Amino acid sequence: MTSDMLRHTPDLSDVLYQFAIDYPEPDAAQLDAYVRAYPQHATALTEFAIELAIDALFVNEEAPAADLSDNDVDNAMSRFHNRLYAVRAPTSRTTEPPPASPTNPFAALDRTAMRQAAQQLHANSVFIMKLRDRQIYPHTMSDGFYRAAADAANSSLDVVIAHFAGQQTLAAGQRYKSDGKPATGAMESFEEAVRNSGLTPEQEAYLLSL
Amino acid sequence: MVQPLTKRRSTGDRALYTRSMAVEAEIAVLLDLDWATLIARSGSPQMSDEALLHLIRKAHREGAEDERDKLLRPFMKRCRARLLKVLPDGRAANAADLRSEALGRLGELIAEDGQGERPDALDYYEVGMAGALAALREDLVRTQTRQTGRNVQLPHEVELDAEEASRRDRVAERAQDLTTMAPTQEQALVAREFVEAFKDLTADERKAVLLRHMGYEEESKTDPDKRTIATICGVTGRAIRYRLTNAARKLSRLKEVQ
Repeated sequence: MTSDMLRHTPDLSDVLYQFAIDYPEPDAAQLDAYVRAYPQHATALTEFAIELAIDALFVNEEAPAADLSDNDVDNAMSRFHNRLYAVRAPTSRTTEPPPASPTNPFAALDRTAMRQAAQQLHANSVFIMKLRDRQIYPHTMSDGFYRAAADAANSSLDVVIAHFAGQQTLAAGQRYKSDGKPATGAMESFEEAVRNSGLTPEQEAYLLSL
Repeated sequence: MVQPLTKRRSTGDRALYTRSMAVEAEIAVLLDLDWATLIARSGSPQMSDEALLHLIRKAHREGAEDERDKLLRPFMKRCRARLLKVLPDGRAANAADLRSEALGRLGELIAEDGQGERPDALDYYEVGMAGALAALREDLVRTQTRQTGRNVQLPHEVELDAEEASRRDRVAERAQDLTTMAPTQEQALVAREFVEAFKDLTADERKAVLLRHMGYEEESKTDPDKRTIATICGVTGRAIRYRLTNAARKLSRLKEVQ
């Protein structure tokens, strides 16, 4: 059996998953059996077994009251959508050439459309321009905000997610009055962008509640 | 019929992984319900995490994106709660970051489901959510360790007195209590005492105590090839006894304060 195990030479990650599922609270005999089967992973298995033993102690504790915000969940949802876009992109490349950069759903908005988008999003033009110019870190945006932004831009969720995940660029067609070369703006977290856009307290509260 | 898992074990006959019978039966019942009902029930603790993940994967496969997203958020909240329980602030210096990163990585795994080099990676999570999340965390820690390097403490070598040896045994007894006692309020108190003491222990002391808790001997004087706490930690039996004694002293001090 041991030679059979070694013949497959599974990677460490698979071995650890299997070990944790087989023995959520491992004892010495169980750990030693795995170490004999995978001597090349002996140290990693032992370290992991110790972590599982600590988990077993902590799992009986009451959950801490702190950290009840949804920031981690929002971040995970954003990473899910960003990754989804990335894994789907190569498939679409086989049928038609992709654009050089993700479509910017806010770039096509004229002044009137921008005001309408701002109104729908309970924001103002300054905030919409930050969205247009990708000045907000996408991982700080909530899933609810992504949806609201897609509605406001009259675009699909995937397009909006891809836009925010893209590299910051200067919006084409904008006029600049400066002696120097125009540069991209400083990046902000979603909350910073909301706080620093001259929004009313009601608008801030709405956007942060999404 | 519930779609079978495709992940195979790494060992022996490379058998396919299977869900527990309870989860399998639960999913079979849930599959008869419409999406609206499933979404409404997704916040209920009566639905297992494993079954909820199965529904998310099903929605993902079938292109039911709205339904998938509505199920995904409560699932992430459950996973966050699990992570917070086993990895609270204080267990590790970067506990909050690690929790956030694990949750984010899980989101990416779900997005990658059915594709890439590991299309069935989520099968592990349908078999055992707690163990799979632990393995995911360990993966992240190993990645971070590779990037930052591991801190190694020098072994201690000291003489022991009889009282210290006695304290050392009490630590082992305490550890043993945690696995043998009935799930009562008393057990919860013992666990809390132990968890509290852990924050004061060094990494080496913690390792020695936990290996003892798992059933390893401090050292073997008759079989040099036997895995013991000393051989695993790469130090002498005397150093291990010192670490266990120190751990016991800290545990006793905590009890005195309380």
